[in-house]
Amino acid sequence: MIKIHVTDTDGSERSIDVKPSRNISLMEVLTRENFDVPAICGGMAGCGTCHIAVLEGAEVLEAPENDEEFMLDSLPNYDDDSRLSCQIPVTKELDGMKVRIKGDGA
Amino acid sequence: MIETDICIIGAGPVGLFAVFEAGLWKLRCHLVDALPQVGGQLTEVYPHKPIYDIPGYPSVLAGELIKNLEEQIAPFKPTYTLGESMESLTQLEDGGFELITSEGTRVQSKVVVIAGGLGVFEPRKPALENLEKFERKGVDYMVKDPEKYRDKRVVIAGGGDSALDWTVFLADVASEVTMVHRRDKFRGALDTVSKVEALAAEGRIKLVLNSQLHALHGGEQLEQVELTQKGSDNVTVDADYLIPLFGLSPKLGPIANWGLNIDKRAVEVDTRDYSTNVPGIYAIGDINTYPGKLKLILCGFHEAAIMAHSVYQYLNPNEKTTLKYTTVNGVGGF
Repeated sequence: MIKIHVTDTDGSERSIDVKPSRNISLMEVLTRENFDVPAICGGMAGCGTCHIAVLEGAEVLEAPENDEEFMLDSLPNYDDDSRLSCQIPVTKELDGMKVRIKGDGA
Repeated sequence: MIETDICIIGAGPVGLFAVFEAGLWKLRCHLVDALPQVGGQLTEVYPHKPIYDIPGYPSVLAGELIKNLEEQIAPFKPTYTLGESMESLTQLEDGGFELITSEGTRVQSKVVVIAGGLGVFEPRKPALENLEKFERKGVDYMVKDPEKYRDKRVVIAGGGDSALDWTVFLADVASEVTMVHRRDKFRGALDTVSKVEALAAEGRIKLVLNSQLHALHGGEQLEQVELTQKGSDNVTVDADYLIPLFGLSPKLGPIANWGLNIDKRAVEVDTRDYSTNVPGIYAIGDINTYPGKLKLILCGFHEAAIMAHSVYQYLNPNEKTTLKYTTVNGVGGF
C-alpha cells in the first residue's frame, strides 16, 4: 500500500491508502474515494475535470503526453504544477505524493 | 411553434438513436442541443478517438458513429434546434409540455426525453474578479457573429484550436487583434499555428506569449485588459472586446429545476421504462441513474428502445402493442 495526501476542492484534507498498479489511474482512485472529481470524459484527457496540482512528488511522474498537454493548455486555471489525474498511473513511486484537486475551472 | 410527439433534449448518440426507436412506433421527434452540431461529446470532445464496445463494430471512430446514426435515423425525418439550450419546461393541461430554449424557440410535445449526457456544454471562464460585470459588455465566450467585431480592438485568450482559428479569422475583420497565450508554444492544428505566427510576423496581430489574463478595467463597458507576463511587468492592452476561449465544460443546467429527482449530477429513473418521477418525462443515456447503471453508449441504446415502447403505451393506453422486427417489416419512415 502507498499513501497519497489529497486536498479536495473545499479545502478539506485526507490521506488515502492505495494498492499501486499501472492499470489504475489516480483519477479512478480519487473518484472511488469520493473526492470532487466528476471525471466526465471517463479518463481520455478530454474534459479537464480531473485537473490536479501536484504539490509534492511531481519529480517521479512521467512527462505529460500530447493529449494531456493539449487539455491542460485549454484550462483557464492551469499552472506549472498542473496535471490531469486520469493520465497518471498509480505506481509505487507515488508514495507520499501531495495533490490538490483543481477541477476544470468552469 | 414546433409541434412534435417527443422532444428529445440532447443530440448525442443516445438522443439520435432514440429517434430510430421512436420512429418504429410512428412517433415523431424534435431534437434540441446546446452545441451547434449533433453528436454531443463524441463530436465535441473526442471525434477522432476509436470506440471498441459498440456491438457489431470491432472499432469505430466517435465521429463516424455519429454520421452513421444520422443516416440510420434519416427515414424518420427528425427535426433539430441546434446551438440552443433548453431553458424552461411547463406542463400543459392536456398532459403535454411546452419547452422554451435559450433563444426563445418554443417546442410543444406530448412527451419529453432527456438524453443530455454530461449536461449542457458551457464555456469555461477564466478566474477574474470582475468578469461577470463585463459579460455581454465586452466579454464574449463565443463568436456568434464575427461582424460584431468589425473595426474593434479584440483580445483573444486561449491556446487551443478555436482561439487560433478565430485569431486568424478576426485578423481580417477587427482593427486590432491581440492573442494571449500562457505558453510560448501552441498545440493546435499545425497549419493554423503557422498562419497565426505569420500574421504576428507581418504585424497584423499582436501575439503575447507566456502571459495570462490578470484583470479587466473599464466603466460600463470593457476598456482595458491587464495581462501578467512571465518574468516581466504587467501589460495593459486597450480593448473593446475580450474573447476567452478555454473550451467547454458540461453542467447539469436548467433541468435541475424541473422537479425531477436528481442524485448528484444524474436524473433518477425507473428501469422498467426509464421514466422519471414526472409522468411524461423520460431520461436515457449518461444523464440518468439507477441501481447498477453503467455509463455506456450501448446501455443508452437499450434504454432508448425500452423508453420508446413505453412512450407509445403511455400515449395509447387502450391499445395492445406488438413489437415489430425491422428485419420483417423494414424501416418504414414517415
